[in-house]
Amino acid sequence: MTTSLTSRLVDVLTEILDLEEREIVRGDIEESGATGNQAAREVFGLLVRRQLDQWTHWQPWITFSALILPLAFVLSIVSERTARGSSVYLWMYANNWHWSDVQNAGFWRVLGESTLLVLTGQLALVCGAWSGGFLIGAISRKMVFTNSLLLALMLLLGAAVGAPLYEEFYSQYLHRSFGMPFFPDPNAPVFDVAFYRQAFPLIVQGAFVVIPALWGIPRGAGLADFSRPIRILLWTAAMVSLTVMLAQDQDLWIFLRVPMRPVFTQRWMQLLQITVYWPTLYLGALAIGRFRKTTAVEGEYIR
Amino acid sequence: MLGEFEYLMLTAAARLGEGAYGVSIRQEIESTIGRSCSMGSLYTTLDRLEKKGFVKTWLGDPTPQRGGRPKRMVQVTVKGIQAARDFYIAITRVTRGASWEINRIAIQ
Repeated sequence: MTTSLTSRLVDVLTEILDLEEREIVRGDIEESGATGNQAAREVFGLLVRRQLDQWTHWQPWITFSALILPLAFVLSIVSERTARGSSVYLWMYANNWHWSDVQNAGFWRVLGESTLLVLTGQLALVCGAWSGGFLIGAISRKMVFTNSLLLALMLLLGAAVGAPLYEEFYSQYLHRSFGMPFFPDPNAPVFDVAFYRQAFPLIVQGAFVVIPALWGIPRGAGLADFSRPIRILLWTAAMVSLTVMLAQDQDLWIFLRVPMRPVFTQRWMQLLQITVYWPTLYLGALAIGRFRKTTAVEGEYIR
Repeated sequence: MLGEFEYLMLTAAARLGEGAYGVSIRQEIESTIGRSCSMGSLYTTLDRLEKKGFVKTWLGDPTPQRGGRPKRMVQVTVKGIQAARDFYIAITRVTRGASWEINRIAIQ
């Protein structure tokens, strides 16, 4: 049991190495007859050294400071706001459910609209996080392991500290710069419930940001396997979708003191917003390609 | 100037000649000096030596005892031999007269 577990661990760890080195290392382990535990220790040691070695160059520092850190910050804020928005609807239905409502035709219409709103918001968040992970993986292929750890850590810090601090700063900023009064929160009853105030934002951050972002990193690292035109297309899609995600948030425009409404009501901008969902298209196309390949191989085998 | 472990690796690879590759170098170092040599230190040092031009590495043929996987073969270059010789001379010179020098210990 332990051996098979550690052997599996060795397989997973060696997957992080470059293809050539992976084969050499697996061969070394086989030849030296190392036990599962010894092999896992050896590979982990090599992996740590390889990752630490990268930090002697400038690229990982740039990736961390110019991409991972701001991305984790922005995603944490978007996630916090998505969680707050979703909390209101969830509270509305889960905490205020009346069976008599189901007889009302208007109830179903509102339920349909709010479900669509919540789902598209969550999907946009998932896609934005995935795109961010994808970019990180594409920029720094050799740092998949460390960058995944760093991004997860930064997202955790972002949810626990960064986003709440920023929201506080933002309302202060609005008050000081535009004289906006501190209105009482109309959704206060929702956030009086500890679950919506504390647990739900963390659940949203974990499920809809951390997991998709970590999923996107190895996908981005595999970008080099594609042809140049496809690489350019995917890069552009990821960049545009992140820019749109950032631009959709009103804060940036408020800080820049530029009215956002004229830009966002334009049709081209609304169309551009669809690009946020590009990962669904990309992953769908990959799945179809893989399915076709498998059925073709099975067909060959049967013949 | 070489580091201590780099020197050990160069010497082990030179002694092994055509049979120098990852596992054999590790075994050579471990059996000669009785110090364990991890896979991490072996391959990162090997990369460093290759970058400095002291060794040349390439993929060897796959063998059955390695599950059909290739070896990373190692050959010390002329530059590597020169660097190892310089290191040895420097160490020998700097040790002369020190209390732990082999001949001196024998005399005492």
